[in-house]
Amino acid sequence: MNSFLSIFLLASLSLSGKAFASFSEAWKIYQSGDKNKYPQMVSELIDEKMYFSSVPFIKEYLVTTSRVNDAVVDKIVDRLITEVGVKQFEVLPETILGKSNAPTIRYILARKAFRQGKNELALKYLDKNIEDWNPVKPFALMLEASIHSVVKHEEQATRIFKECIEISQDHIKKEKDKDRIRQLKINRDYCLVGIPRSQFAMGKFNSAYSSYLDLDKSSYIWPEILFEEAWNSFYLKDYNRTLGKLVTYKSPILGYIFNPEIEVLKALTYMELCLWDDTKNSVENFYVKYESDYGAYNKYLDSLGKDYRQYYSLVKEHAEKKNKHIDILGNALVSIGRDPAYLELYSSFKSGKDEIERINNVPSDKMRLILGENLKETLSLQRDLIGSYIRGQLQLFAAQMGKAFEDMSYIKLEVLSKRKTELYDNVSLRGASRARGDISFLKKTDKQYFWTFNGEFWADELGDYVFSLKSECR
Amino acid sequence: MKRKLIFAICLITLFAVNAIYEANADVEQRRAELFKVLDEELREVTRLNKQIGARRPDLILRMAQILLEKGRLLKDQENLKYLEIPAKEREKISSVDIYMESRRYFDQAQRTVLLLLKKFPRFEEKADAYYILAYNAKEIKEDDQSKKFFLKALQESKSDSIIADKSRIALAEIYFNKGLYDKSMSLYEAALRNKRDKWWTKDAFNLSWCYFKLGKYDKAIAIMSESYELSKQSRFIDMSKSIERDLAFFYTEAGRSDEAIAFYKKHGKSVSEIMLKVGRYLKSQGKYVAAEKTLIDGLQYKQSEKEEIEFNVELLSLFEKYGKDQKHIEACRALAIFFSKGVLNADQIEVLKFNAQKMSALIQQQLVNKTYDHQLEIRDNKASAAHEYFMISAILSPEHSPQDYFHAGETFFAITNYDRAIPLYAEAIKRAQKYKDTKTESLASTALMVSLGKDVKKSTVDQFLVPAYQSFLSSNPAGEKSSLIYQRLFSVFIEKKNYLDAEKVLVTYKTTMPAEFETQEKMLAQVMDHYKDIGDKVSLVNWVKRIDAKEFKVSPEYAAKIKTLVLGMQFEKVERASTKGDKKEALKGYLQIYKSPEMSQDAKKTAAYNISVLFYQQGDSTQLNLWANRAVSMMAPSEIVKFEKDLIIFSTDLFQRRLLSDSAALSERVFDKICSTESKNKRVFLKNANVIYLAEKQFESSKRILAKAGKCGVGTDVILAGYLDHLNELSASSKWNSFSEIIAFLEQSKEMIPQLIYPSSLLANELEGIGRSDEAAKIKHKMMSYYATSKKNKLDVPTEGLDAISSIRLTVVEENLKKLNSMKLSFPEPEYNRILKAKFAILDGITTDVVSISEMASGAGIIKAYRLLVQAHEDVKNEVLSFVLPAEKTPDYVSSFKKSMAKLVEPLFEQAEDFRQTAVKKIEKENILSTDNSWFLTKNRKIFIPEYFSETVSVSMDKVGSK
Repeated sequence: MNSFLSIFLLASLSLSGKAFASFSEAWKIYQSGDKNKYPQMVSELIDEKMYFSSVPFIKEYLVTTSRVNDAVVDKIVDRLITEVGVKQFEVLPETILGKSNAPTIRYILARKAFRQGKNELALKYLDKNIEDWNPVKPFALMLEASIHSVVKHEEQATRIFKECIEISQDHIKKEKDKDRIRQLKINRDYCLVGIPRSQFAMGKFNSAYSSYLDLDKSSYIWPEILFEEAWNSFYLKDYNRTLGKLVTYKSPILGYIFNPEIEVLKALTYMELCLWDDTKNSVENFYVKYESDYGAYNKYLDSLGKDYRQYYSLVKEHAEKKNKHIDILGNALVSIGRDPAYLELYSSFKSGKDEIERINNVPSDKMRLILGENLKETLSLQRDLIGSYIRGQLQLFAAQMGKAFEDMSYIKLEVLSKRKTELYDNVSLRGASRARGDISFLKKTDKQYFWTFNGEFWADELGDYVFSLKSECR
Repeated sequence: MKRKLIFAICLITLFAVNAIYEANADVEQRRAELFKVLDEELREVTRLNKQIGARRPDLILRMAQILLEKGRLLKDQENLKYLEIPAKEREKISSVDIYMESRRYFDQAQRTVLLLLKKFPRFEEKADAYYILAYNAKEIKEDDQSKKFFLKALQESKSDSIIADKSRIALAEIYFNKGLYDKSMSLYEAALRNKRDKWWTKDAFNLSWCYFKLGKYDKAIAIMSESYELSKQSRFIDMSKSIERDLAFFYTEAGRSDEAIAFYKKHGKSVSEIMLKVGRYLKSQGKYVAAEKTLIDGLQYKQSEKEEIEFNVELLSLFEKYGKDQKHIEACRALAIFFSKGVLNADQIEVLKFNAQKMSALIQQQLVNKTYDHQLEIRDNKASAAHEYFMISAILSPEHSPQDYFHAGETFFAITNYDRAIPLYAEAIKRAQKYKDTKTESLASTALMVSLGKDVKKSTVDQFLVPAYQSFLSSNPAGEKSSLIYQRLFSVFIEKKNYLDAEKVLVTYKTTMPAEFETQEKMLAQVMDHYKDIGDKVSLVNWVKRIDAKEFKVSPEYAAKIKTLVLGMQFEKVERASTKGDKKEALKGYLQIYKSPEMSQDAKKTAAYNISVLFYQQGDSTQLNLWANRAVSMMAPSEIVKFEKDLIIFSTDLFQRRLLSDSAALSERVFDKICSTESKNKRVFLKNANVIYLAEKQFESSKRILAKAGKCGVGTDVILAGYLDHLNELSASSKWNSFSEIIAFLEQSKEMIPQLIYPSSLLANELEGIGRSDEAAKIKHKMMSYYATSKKNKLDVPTEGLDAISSIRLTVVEENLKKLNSMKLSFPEPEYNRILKAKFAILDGITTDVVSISEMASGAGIIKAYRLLVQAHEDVKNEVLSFVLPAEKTPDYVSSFKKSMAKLVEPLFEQAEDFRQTAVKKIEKENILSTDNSWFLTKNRKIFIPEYFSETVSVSMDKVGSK
């Protein structure tokens, strides 16, 4: 931190339109001690693909400057953030970030505001024009549409989601970097499912159902969205389809998905079909499967405390099968390992590490030293950010598990209550005949084709399985 | 939200527990299932509570609710178990022990809720907690506590919440049960603003009753009607049955009966059925006027006999209560008709019976007390009504009908209407006799007699006098007065020429007044004179029979008189025919007399005898035999003695006509009859019968009659002769079975001994013939003994006996002769001399024996003996002369020897010739006829001597020449 401040104090340059093309130019600016010129220096460094090494300089600049009124600087910031990811800057306070008008910074501010529930403020940050070509544009659109969706501005949300899809697609076409393309595709797909999500939020389950079907199964996010589709079917009272979608998670290729709510929804669906025994079995199986692991999982998380470094190592070690064997932990780590956000963080981290080699090519020893320190600082933060993210995810899983246990118990209690009501209401005890798997219980739309699940998973059928259980409700 | 939902369900189930008690056939199965569910629920709540760190009051509340619920179920189960214990054992068992398990759960529920309230004082759903506490208290019968907690629950809950309404309902029920209808009403009104659940109809029903109790009829009817309409919907409890029952009552109370009828008609219900229910209810509430009106109205809508009956039954007590006599009797009359159809049940019969008896007694009492004597029309109507009640009562209880009829008669007697009273008394008597009610019969008969003595119509007297006498006599069968009544009754019947009933009176009189035989004789005379006058001999004879059978005691003079009369009547015509020589007609007449069941035994006996005489005269032996036997069987011994000569003729006739068995049987029958008399002809009948039996080989019959002879005083000589005949016939017929028995009997008489030798010889021969020589020898020994005894007692032995004895003795001679011939002469000379000497000794012995035998008077024996003697001498002589000396003997010796031997045997030859001559002389002089005669007479032993043999299969003439 001290080093960061010292560098910051040196920067007093005011940026001009002149381009810098080399380390020497950068070194010169650094040596001048004008921090106002740090953006220029960073620009020189970016040209040398020294992104992570540059981050402290920009941060120092933002801290020291009163206001950034230079479009060039904004572009530099945008370029930099685009390369290193928003996380490095999200840690900065809004007061610092607010000095810049760079679209990326505005996006970061909007994210922060959105996360804090300040939807209006978030929209305000995004309200200022971001050029379509801007790398952050697709993401900003996704965020903006999401906020509209949350605040039930379905029309705007849908419109912006559609724009998002379009813009994302444009960027994908232009982009060459694989990681970036993946991020853009994921963004596009989130915008795509943003539409049904808005519809779902508005209670338009039928529309949502059709809209969800627009998501290609090859999409990176499709597996997690399948769960949303299951919920949508549930709300449509199309319980057999809900179960069909949920059973898809049993497919080996979706084995990495760990979401306890899948089991909860399955139990809930059985309950809605008044299949008391199936419901109870789901609940019991869940408890049997996870109860003891859950305790161990929580203890293990407690033992890790806030040591982000350890968290950072978890995913990696799990991939190398070095972890302690706790099923839930394993599931969670696998799931995190496939998480786009994690991948983005990790990808950035990996890119940062590539800079170490490039620093060696810096002619000036001093500059090599300074950039090395910067890189170390940035990567350390990046690693902590990854650790923090993992910790957050693992805690989220813990909470989800706790919630799932609770939900499962409530479901079972509800089933028992219903069973009691049946007994008190003199409904005859359950007979032997229990017609299961009858196609006549299916509901389908014109967009929909279905496969009855026969115990095997085929890629092209995933998500289209349907059950045909007869409701035993009286 | 989810938690709320679950708790709401729990509360619902709490109420639903009541429903389960009502009518679940599979209640046990359900209860078991519920226990499982509750246990599972409890486990889940516990698990969840643990999972979330026991921070959730709603879960604690849920736990309490489950505990309460389980406690209630357990209690229900315990109740059932408790009720299954026999009452006596139940007294010994503490209910605390029985309800221990449920109590444990209630306590646990209570503790859990209290803990909840303490731990979470700001818990939003405190009302629910109090509600559980209230229910818990209700379960353990802490009513005040329960009420307190319900109030608290109400206080803590939001006014429009479910729990508030449920608490209101619970409190309303408490107040309702305590009769605090105004409080109950307010709570119900508040709770029922929303139709939250299926119980609304039931609670509205209660609210309706609150209104009703508070006199708010219109509101009561309105809410009841609404509940009725909603009851049709499946989402509500169906209260329609209860409402249908009560709504009519409400309408009636509100004075809106027409609306009630319209209501039930509209809903397709049976108006009559409802009105009946309401009527009953009003009665039970003491609202008799309303009840009567309802029932009378309802009766108009009756749909079946059953309903009509039920209405009338209900109305009876109301009519009686308000003195509506005419309606009362009409209802009774209607019910009596239904009773006759057999459609009243036991309870209905009892009601009708009670009413009929009560009313009849009441009216009778009024009439006896002369209450209406100044209102004659009313009095007569009352009497008729009482009469009808009595008649209904009589129909209902036939066994008590004599009393009913008697009381009906008494009712008319009370108003001096004797002509109506008398038939009722008479019927009472008749029924009393049927049901053996002697008391009523006595009372009624007295009353009847008294009534007949009153000023009554003649036709009444004609109709009821006889019954009156009869019933009097039935009640008073003996006594001086009764004797007189019997005679009067008898006279009435005689006057009416009702001889049948007159005879019945006579018979009863004879039974009840046995000592009054003079009166009986007079009555008899009247009856018999009647039959004599009309020529009814059968009836007359019957009466004579009864007199003969001592059924009636009459004077001897009268008895003889009627006997003569009867016999004379019986034989009059037949005798006339017989006298005219018309035997066929006579026979016919006698046969008729004999066959007629009406004829006396004397007449039949005489007829039988006369018939036998007629058949004898006509030579019809078969019929003679038949009728003679009939006559004998009917005649007394003294009568037979009188006619015994005729009977000997009859039996002789039968014998002569070869009906031997019949002859013997008749003789024996007569013998039996006259056994005890002094008749000299007894031995004749005995001998005749015995001889014929033996001739017919009927040995058992012979033995039978001989066995009876001694007892009948027949002389031993006759009896022994009979037995001897029997013995001889047995031996002649080779029947040896009872031979020894008869011999043994005859041995007892020494005179019989000589007679036993010959039959015994036949038995000996029979035994020898079949190889039983030892037994034959014993018999022969006995024969020799008989012979010796006979000689000793100088008794003559019959020739056959002598022949038999001599035959035995000749066997000894024959044995010696064989011995003589078996000893053959041989040399040397001394041996020759010894043998010759021995032969002479034997020859001497034979000579001695033959002399002895010849002294016996047996011709056959003598000739045979001589033949053996001659043979012996000649055999010795021939052997000596023909002896051939050994060859070594010299001729001289031989010559000398032969000469000497010729001399020696010379006398033997002479003796043999002498004996031969003696034998021939004896044959000629003593006329001996023997098989050996020819041997002597031919004088040539070499010629063939013809001999006669009888073969067993040959026909021989027996004594009677029957074969």
